Amino acid sequence: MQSKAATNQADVAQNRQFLTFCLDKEFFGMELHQTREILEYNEVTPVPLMPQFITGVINLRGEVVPIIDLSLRLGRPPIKLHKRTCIVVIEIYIDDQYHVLGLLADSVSEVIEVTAEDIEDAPAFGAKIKAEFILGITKKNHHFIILLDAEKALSPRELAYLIESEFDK
Amino acid sequence: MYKLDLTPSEHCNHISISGDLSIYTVADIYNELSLDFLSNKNININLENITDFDTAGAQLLVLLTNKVQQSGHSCELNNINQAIKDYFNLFQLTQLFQLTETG
Amino acid sequence: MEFSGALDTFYAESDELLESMEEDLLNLEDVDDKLESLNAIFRAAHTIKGSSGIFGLNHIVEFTHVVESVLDRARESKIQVDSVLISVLLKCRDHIASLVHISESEYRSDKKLTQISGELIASLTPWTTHSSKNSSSEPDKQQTGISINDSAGTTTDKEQIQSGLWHISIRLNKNCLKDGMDPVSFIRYLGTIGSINFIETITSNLPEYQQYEAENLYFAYELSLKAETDLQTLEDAFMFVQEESDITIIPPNSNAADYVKLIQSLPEEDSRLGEILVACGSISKKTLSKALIRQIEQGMENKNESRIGEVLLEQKSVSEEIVEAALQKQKESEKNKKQKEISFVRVESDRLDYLINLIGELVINNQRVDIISERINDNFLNEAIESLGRFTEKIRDAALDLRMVPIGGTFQRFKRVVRDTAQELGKEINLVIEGAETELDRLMVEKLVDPLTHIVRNAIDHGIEPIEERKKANKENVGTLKLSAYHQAGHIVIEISDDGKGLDQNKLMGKAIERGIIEEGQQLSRQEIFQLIFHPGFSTAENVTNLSGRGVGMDVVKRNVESLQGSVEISSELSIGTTLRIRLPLTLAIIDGFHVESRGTHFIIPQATIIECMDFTMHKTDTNRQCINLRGEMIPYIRLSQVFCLSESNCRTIEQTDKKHRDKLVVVQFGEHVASIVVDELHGEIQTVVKPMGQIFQNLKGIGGSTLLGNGEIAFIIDVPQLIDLAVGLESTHPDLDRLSENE
Repeated sequence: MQSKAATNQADVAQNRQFLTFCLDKEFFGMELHQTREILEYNEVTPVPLMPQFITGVINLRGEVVPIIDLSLRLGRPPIKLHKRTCIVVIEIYIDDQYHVLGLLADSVSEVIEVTAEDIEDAPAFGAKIKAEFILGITKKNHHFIILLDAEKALSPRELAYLIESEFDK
Repeated sequence: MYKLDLTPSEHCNHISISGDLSIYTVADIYNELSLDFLSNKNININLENITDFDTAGAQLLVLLTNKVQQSGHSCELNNINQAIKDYFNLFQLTQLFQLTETG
Repeated sequence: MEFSGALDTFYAESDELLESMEEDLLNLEDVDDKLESLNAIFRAAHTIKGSSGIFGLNHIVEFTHVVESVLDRARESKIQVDSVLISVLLKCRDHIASLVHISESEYRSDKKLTQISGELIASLTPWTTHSSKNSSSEPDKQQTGISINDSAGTTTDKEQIQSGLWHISIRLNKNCLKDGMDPVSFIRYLGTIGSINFIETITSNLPEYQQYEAENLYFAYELSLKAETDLQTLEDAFMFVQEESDITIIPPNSNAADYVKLIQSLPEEDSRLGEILVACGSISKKTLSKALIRQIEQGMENKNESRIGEVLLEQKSVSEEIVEAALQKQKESEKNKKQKEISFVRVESDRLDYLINLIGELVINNQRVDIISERINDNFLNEAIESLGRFTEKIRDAALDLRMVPIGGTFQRFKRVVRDTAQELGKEINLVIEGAETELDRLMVEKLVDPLTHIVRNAIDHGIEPIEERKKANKENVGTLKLSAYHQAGHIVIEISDDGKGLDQNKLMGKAIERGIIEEGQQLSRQEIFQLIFHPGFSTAENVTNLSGRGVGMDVVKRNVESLQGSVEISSELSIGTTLRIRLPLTLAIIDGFHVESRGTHFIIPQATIIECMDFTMHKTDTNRQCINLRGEMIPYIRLSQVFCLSESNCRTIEQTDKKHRDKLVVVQFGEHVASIVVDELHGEIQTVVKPMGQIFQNLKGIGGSTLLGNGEIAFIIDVPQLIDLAVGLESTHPDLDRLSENE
């Protein structure tokens, strides 16, 4: 984890790499060091009584990993499953612990490298996504890519809280 | 830390060990000593400036003494200090060595 | 240099000794026969001092020595053991505990610690000063230096039983020097127990010059020791080397056979050893040679080599009694050694957890093979797999058993908490412990300490009344706090009960309304009112003390217990007392479950909660009341599909949707409650490896975890009490389900 923190630091000064993927024709980026692997979408076991954005859980080589409909989590319509739907497995380090999550995506495109100057602040309008979930916005091949702040958008504590409030309803 | 000096002379080869003669140094000291040096003449080992001494050091001294005596020469330990004396007394080892004092 | 190996053992050993020392000190107050406890405490202090000496940890030796001499006076009844002394000794124990883990130089430079040492030693003076140095009963105080007597004079003293010579034969492990242990330290230590009469350093084991490995130990030692001590003390001196070394200790005036046996067991030449023994003064030449000759003759007469004891018996040189006694002694020391080994097998907890994880995987794989073999349906294969399964199960149980520890150790800690807390609050409290032998998972034990500590303190602070109040209420001055544990239906139940003032429902309600936790006029059941104390920010203490009453803690207690898949129940009677009942699963890692299915989703119901399974339709139901009539008893039922809002769309295969559901019923019990769960399919018993679901799902209700089935599919493990709660919550508009919660 220390090495991770260290690379994080270094990235600030240098270039940052993002894995970009597509959600309903819009492009998003997730820091590459937080992503672990990409899976084909395959049977997700729904968990009873979960809010809609928790699609379910999968068995990832013996580990039970929650799958999240990122589109819903970002306040957009639910993802429509099709045969190219994939799961981006990410790993975030929060509260002295690694948390592994799977995100549903329509497709994964490429890894991009951006310099600090390439990243612009999120516009106050238009994105329809909570500003705190966004690290910034960058442009590549004539389209915008929304760079996500996984630790905020997918904070396990926040998600757990959302689930709890589901029960309080 | 230790310092090992090997000085050949006409009748007698001199070995002088100062500093540590203990588990921390015995392996290195043993490796620095050559069989040739030990077996062709009488040996005089000066231990005046030993600061640390333990069982590993004592074993090495017994080994050297035995080796020199096997090749038909004599082996003297010179100027052993109080710490070594105490050790030899405690373990009743004194009679194994030829101890000498020189100025 | 790897000094650490032995030192780690020293740390672990000292911690263990200190723990039992604390326990014994606390026991001192209750027991009538204090001598046994005092002896145990003395031995613990003595051993710590001795081992510290071996490691040159003089700061521990210095301090512990003072404590030890007070203990010695106490066990000789020269001083009275009262609660003041016990308090001081407890503090001394704590101080030793903090000394053990630091080096001498760290200690010398730590002003606070040196000051505490000074203060504690000063506070011990009332028990040390009178007639201080005249007791001859401090064996280790005789001489601190090493003295070597003239060997000539003592050899003939052999007949004097009081001052006989011990013979000690030392063959240390060859890596001993590398491990940072120089024989010098043992010899010096022996010099503190008695005086060394003679040492022979055996140098004949040195190899040829070329084969010499400078860091190995080649020297061996034979020595005789003049000391009034016992075998155990001398054996303890070699506690840290015993395992790989050969140490023989022959008590004074042992029969010749023991010496002969020693000579024959040692690798060196017999005649040389004989000389050494004689030189040591341990045995006279005449006796030894007679025994040796007899031994050789015997060997010639009888190829089977009868035992030396028998030889000597024939010779009539020793009486039968003595041999008997010697054998007995040998057995005892073997027993001691065995006990020591048991407490010495230390395994890093990580390694144990790793093993259990692996076994978990083994269990899952075994199930996978099971499924495949069913498909192939070959008799031989089935048989083989069946026996494989049996062994897997045994391995699993054995491995889990490794992690099971009796809860007694944890309960013991509370003696101290109770004592300190009670003293602080000026209350008198008697702690009663029941069911100390009840076992549970070590992981749980660790996580239980904090919540239990809080509950115990809370009970003493808020539960048990001050003495004046107790007097007024016609109660005994001394309050009673009881910790008990027992197993019930695959769970462990831990009860903390006090005979205090009990929970006042009106007061609780009032406070809850005041704090805005509940609304005025809201109707709550008894249990619900009691459970208010677990609400964050709830505190009934009128005077906020520094112990509890800050309103933090009880909610954490509940959360901690729930994170262990457990539950807390409260029962309380005004002015009679309060009982908190914590119910926990026995282990968190692997459980026996019953695999069921509802609307295509797989669930595991913990086997321990299940009473029976049956066909739902076979039973008469009362449509208005969601109850079944089971042999005349009305039992409420819940539909899993309803509680978990499972719909047909959850079914993943057409086959499943088409299949006509035939409702099945699983009757479960939790605590005193009985309920039944309606499912679609019963798949049978299964061993499940609990897979944590991560922080995200920590607030999931009704599901305690997940597991993988043999085919890789995920199943959810049902938390029965939570499921019922959930059902009650969801159906609170249906009055018929309410009775579930009021089944008190």
